[in-house]
Amino acid sequence: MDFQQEYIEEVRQILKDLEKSLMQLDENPDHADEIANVYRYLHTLKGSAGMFGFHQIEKLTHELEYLYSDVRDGIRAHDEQIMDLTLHSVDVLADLIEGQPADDEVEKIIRTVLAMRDTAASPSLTTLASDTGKQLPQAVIIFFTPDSNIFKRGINLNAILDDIRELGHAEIIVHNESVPLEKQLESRELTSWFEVLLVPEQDMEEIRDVFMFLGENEYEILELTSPEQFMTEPYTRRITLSEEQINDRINTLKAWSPQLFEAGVEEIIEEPTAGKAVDLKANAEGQEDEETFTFETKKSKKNKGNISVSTPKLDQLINIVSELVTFRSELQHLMSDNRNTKVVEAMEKLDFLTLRLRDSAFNIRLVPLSILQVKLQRLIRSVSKELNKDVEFITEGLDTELDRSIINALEAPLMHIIRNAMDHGIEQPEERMKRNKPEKGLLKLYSYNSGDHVFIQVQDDGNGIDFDKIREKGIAKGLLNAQQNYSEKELINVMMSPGFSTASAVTTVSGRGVGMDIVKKEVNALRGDVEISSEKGLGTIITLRLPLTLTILDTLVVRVADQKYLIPVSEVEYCYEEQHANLFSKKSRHIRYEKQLVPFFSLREYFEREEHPEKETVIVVNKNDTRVAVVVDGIAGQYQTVYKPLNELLQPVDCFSGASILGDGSTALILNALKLKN
Amino acid sequence: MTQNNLHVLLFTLQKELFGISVMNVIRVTNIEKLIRIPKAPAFIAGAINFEGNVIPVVDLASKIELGTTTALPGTKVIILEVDHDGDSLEVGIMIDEVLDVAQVEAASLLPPPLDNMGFNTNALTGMHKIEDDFYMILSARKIFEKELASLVQ
Repeated sequence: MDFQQEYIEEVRQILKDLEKSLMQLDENPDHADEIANVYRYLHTLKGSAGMFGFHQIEKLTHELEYLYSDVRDGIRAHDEQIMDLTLHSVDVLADLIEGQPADDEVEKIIRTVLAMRDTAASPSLTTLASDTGKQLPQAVIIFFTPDSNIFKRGINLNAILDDIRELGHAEIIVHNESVPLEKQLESRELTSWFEVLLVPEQDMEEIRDVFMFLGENEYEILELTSPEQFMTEPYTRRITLSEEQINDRINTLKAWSPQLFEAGVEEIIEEPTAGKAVDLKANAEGQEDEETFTFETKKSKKNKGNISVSTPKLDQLINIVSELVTFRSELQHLMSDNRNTKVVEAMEKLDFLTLRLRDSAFNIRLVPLSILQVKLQRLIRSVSKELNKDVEFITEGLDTELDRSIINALEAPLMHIIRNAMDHGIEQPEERMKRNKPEKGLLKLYSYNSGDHVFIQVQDDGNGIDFDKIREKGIAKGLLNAQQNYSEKELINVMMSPGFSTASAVTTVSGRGVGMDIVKKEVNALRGDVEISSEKGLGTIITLRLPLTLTILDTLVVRVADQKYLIPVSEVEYCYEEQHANLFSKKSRHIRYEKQLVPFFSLREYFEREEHPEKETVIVVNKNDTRVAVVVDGIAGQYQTVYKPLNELLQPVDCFSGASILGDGSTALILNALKLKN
Repeated sequence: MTQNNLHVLLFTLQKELFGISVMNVIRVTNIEKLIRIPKAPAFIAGAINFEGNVIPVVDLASKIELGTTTALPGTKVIILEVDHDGDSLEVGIMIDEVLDVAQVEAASLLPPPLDNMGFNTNALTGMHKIEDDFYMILSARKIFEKELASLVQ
């Protein structure tokens, strides 16, 4: 990966973090930490963009940074306008970093920012001191360039310099001092000029009065409001400063005026009032927060560092680790007769390390569902604006981990489902009021593990699915028979068939995504299912059931004849031992469990093994509220395993949902107990 | 390797001589722990853990109707990679002994005899003669033609 590629990756990550912070701000606009975060992200983006030739990014972030420094300093509120603008900027920045030209958009945003900043009362932008009234400027730079004939004019230079010192805290920097200043004064031949850093205790008028005997081109008074001024006109006309020199100057000024460039601007604007006092207090607090924040980021940076790795590399690692686990068990077998305690100890250590290595390697591929959260929040935000429907978005269990590839593939379907729920499900606020519902719609996204599946549910409290409408439409489209009665389930199936859309008109919101048929198709492609349940007037729940693929699975290891099989622990409801004779004395194959008859299947019988143990073990499996009992020889233990999909050649064997490598390197099949019934 | 040249792995199975393109061969390994897969098609002897993946082991003899091979610890398995639909299927085939790797010029490949061979010759792509011995060249794709076809559906 070359540097530029690395930089692009970094920017992508920063943009993601930035987006996340913005979403936090959307919920809680006064969050000082997040404002500081946004500012820092923008600053980081700006810093590196120029180096890699992304000048548009540099320009854009530069302007936004100004805006956020104002927000951070309490000069302006983080309002909707800023939020929209920044979110839009994030998109534009994302385009830019991918190499898509977006000059127009950049210009547009910059113009908006400039307009916004103009409306903010900051007269400081006009640098030459004009009528700023009686208020004190925060910092002033004076260029004092007396003509060499100053002495002939009878002007006492020393007196002027003394007067300057009396204006407040001042440092006079002498330039062009090829001859020491004292000598120049003595010989009355002046070659030097003076740069004055001043934190005045007098107002502008007083400052100007010092120079009242001098010509207009002999001095220039510059109000200093931002460090950038050291690098721009009119400063540069006089002198070009190195970064170090600039920092020296800033430090000097800050020593006298710690609030410089940060919180001072409103002091110029506002009369000292009670309101101001509050503002200052808020500022002080904000700064405190910022300090703890930087400390925190230092910490979290250490924890959160990410690198991206290509999937084949990862797969290779995982396979090698699996092999190592196999080899370890082989070694253990070879060493089993060894009585040397040191060897035994070393083996135990190797054992422990290999298993830990395996666990960490397997964990790498898994990512929490929450990585989609920001994207979904943004979608909800923009859709709710578009439709004028306010929505409360609640999430739960988004730390559920899934294979990265599944999560990536889920993004589009989930977005569509949410869009649908907001467009078709949740009613307009007025309508909701009429129905005694809270004005704000409720959208819930939750996820959990169950058995060998991960469930993701999207629930809304909207109008529910209008089954009559689906029926009508299905008939109109020739998908349904007008004479027939259809169950809700059948109607839902029709709804998810290709080309069906329930929206009575194609709105911009639903018109641009995929239809429910595509959602179904995409989820099916992940070997998952979509289930919809809806209550008219109350809302809809859409459930995505997804296989774990690489998800770590807790399994019960059971013995049948000379082989081991796995049953997901989450499916196991109850286990007990029973005499073979008792179980098989009758022809009917049912056990009594919780006052119900549960069919049982003997795996030995099912796998066509003749002999059987005297004492059998019965395992009651409950999956999706269907109970089945499985009769096995015994339980060999519990094992956390990594699900491997069955090889294509084995997929017709549907009584197994997958396979797994056990800790000793041997292979075991994962039982799909419900399929035993068929 | 040019297109006209083909490297084949030569092996024996039920006293017959076979070859298969090395392009399909991932590795030759010994069976250590084979698990049986109940309810699987008869030609599948079981599955093994190969580099962390669960790979089905096919009784090649039974698949091409040449008899059966008993899967024992130490039985040789060629792990094959068969392309289908842009994806690749990994599968092991049980053989008797690995002999050699030979370079075969495509032009010198003879058409396979189709009759009276004592096994299903659909999986053959050609025949190669080395000195006095005839080697039947198998196509990995053709061995699993039926299974691959059902996968596409």
